[in-house]
Amino acid sequence: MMVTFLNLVVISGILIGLIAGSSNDFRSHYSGDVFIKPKTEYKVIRDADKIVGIAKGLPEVVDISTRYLLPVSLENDYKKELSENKSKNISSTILAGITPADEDKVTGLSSFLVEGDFLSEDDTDKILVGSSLLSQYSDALSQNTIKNVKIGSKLRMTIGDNFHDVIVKGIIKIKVGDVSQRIFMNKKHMLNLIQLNKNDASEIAITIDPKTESAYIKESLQNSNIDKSALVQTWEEAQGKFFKDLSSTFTILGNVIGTIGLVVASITIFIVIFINAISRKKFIGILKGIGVSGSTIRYSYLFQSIFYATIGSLLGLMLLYGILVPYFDKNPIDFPFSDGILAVTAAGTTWRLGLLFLATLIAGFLPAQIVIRRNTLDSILGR
Amino acid sequence: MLNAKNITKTFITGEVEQKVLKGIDFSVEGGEFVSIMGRSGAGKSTLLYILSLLDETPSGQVFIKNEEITLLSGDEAVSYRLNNFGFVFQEYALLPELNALENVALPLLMRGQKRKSAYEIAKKALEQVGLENKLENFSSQLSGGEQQRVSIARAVAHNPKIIFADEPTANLDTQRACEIMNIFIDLNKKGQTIVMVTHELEYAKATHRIIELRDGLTVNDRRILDPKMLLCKL
Repeated sequence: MMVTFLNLVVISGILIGLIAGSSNDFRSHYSGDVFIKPKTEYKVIRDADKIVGIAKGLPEVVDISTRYLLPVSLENDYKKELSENKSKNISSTILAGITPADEDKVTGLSSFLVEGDFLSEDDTDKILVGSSLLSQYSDALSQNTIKNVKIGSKLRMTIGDNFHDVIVKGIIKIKVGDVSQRIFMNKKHMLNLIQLNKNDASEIAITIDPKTESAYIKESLQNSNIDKSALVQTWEEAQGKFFKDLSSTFTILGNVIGTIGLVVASITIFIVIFINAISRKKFIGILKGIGVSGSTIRYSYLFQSIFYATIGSLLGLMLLYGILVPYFDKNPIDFPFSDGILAVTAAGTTWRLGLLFLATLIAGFLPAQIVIRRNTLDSILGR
Repeated sequence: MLNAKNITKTFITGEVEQKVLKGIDFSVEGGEFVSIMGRSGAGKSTLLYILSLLDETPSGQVFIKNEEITLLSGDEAVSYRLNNFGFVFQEYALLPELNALENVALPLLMRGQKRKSAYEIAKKALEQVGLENKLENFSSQLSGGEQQRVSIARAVAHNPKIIFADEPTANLDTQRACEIMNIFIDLNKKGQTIVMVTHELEYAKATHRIIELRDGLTVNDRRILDPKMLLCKL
């Protein structure tokens, strides 16, 4: 019964947690709680400083990071002459111009450094490289990676028709694809490299007080006469429909597996109670013979099923909340695209507990009913 | 006290019908000790099961104090048994998880008696059958004769109108069987109505009346003029 309870809660919890972990990472390390990007018909968010100013005026807003994105190519070994059949050691990627301190406050980017150092405000030609762009951090089948990049490597970054030499200062490894496939540069220096309107931005990520709903901040910003080019989203909206569909899919999958577990548990309880009742049919007959009513006997079997369910559930709950949840919180499962947590909620657990008890009651009631309905005399005489 | 009219019973096995009881009529007075005799297959146990409402598919009528109990539904019959009948089975029918005291107290508890009172009554009933020193013993710790005494104590504890006993001495040696019979005789002397199935003429002679069955019919119904306590060898 304990295993059934865990099967009901843990399997679906892990499946949902797989997506929940990914979703949490996306929110914590990329989008923030409120995310602003250009509407489809615009290339950039105009008048970003005004938006940042309005956001900073909201007491619930904690930190803000603005990013400017540009498509670039990054080439290593560009000074080497290539033989005819060798291709360039080059990768296409997105350059994100950031204010390092702001970005770190919003996304904790520096904590994902696996090599080198984080950007400082004074860095000019230094970049951070997402590990997904580097062959040594990607599997052999990965396309679009650069080989032999180390801390201090000098790479050629091409923006449009212009190229600039940049030095790798750090390597970032994170499971959020939008981050690990980028390179990062000090926005101040990026604006020196190419002619950009410094009042424009490609993304604005905002973190807010945990007690505040993202939707509230979104509404506040929308009502503040911000530029029409800005699309304000909650972190959930920023993740898009695919994420939501994926989460629903895994929830359904978890429920299907849980239901199979529930059916197996019901059959097990049925068999246990049925064998118990059949092997004791003579004594049930005696009980009826001396005047114990069928309903009293039925209650005793229902009590037996509830006892199994209660003990199993209690053990399961202790194991779940005492060991499994704290363990997976500290040691998330290392899935390729997320750190999977055990997503269990009190409401979900209560619902599943209710289901388990209902199934157990039915599974206990049926065999008891079958045996009780037998002729009393036949039961006593073993006929 | 008990009036049985046109009791019939047919067993059907596949396409074979066997009429075990072919229309039995008789009555039992209050305070009477009646034995039903007959050869194996004569239908005596079947008759007892019908009279005591254990057989849920009888044909015929059984009246207790002019109330037709054969009309009672399943649950009503169970409740009627609990409140009005005591039953002593050939194989004792004790619940192995319960000790002697608990086995006797169970029907009392089921009748809604308070635990303390039920246990006091059960204890007295066990004292009545000479088991005051075996109250805590489980059936596995009791001899056959002792188990049958517990069974009798359970049957009498709630002062039933009638005790039905189905060959209560059949599994016991002569000495134990004699002791059990004397317990029944003693109970009857105190006014208890008893209907007992037996195939031992010696024990039947210790009752007021012998009803003899043969081939599903009553062939003899005679009164014993002077039933006596049996002398059991030590």
